[in-house]
Amino acid sequence: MTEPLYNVPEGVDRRRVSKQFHVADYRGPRDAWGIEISEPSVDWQLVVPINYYASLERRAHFQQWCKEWKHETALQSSPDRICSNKSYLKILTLGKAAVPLILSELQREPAHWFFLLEILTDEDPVSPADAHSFKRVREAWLKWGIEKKLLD
Amino acid sequence: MGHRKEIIRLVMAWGISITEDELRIKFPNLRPENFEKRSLHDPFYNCIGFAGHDRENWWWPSNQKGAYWPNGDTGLEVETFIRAFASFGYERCESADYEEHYEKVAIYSLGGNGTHMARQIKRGLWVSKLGQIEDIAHLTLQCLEGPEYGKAKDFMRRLHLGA
Repeated sequence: MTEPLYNVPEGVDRRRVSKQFHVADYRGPRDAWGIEISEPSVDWQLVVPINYYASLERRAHFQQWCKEWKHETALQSSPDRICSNKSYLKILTLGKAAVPLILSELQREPAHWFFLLEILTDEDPVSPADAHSFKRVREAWLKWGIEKKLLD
Repeated sequence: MGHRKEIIRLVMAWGISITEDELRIKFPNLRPENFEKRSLHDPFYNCIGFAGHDRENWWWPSNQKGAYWPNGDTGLEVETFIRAFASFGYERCESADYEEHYEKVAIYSLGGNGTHMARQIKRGLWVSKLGQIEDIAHLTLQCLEGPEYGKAKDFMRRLHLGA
């Protein structure tokens, strides 16, 4: 088996990672919409584990920034201030890969994620009649996430 | 030591942890003996909606998705808040002092912009929803004055419904 070109983080069994993402079991990394993001000629045994660690890193960043954002804006009422918080905006740097993470967090705990979702997806599943209801905006995004298979 | 734990518990329900020092900076007048928690954390409504007896909507004069404002105004000036509550029968009044048969609301502001609202429920007792977390009852408006919400400078009143 080709040796992956990355440093396995401490505490992770390299063999389990290789087995888990064996080329026969996995067709390649996909983006947030389920579309393959690499050329078919890429050696998945190299790419997939790298992608796996990138995914872990993204999740860690997301969780950290999410926690900081909630901490810093917990007492705020202004959505404009809540959505201009530095930690919130940092999540934009994760790109579309952040969308499933945001949807999952929105499902777990309601919060003002709508501004980020609109920017990252360039979509707006909320009808004008529902735009001023926090509950209905949330429901519309969760429904959209389920339809796009980004959310269970 | 017990009161410190109570304050910290107040803001930890949302999975956040605000340190005691941070709270002291945000609300220098908040003391365990002058407030108590009245609800579980609920992110679906905020302080302005709560002051207006609405626990279903996040009231804010903004175009952001999910923000509701009764008359559709935008702009953070205190006047925007006053116009919205005037549409529910409130009128401006001079002070926050208790007046029999009247319900009062107070508008906190920083630099002329509204930040927070509290509602008087009886003599010497106000209730507030703190941002995205919980409702509390507090003995004075000064409890929540500080760098986070500014000062309670504007007051409105209306006859108690049914009075």
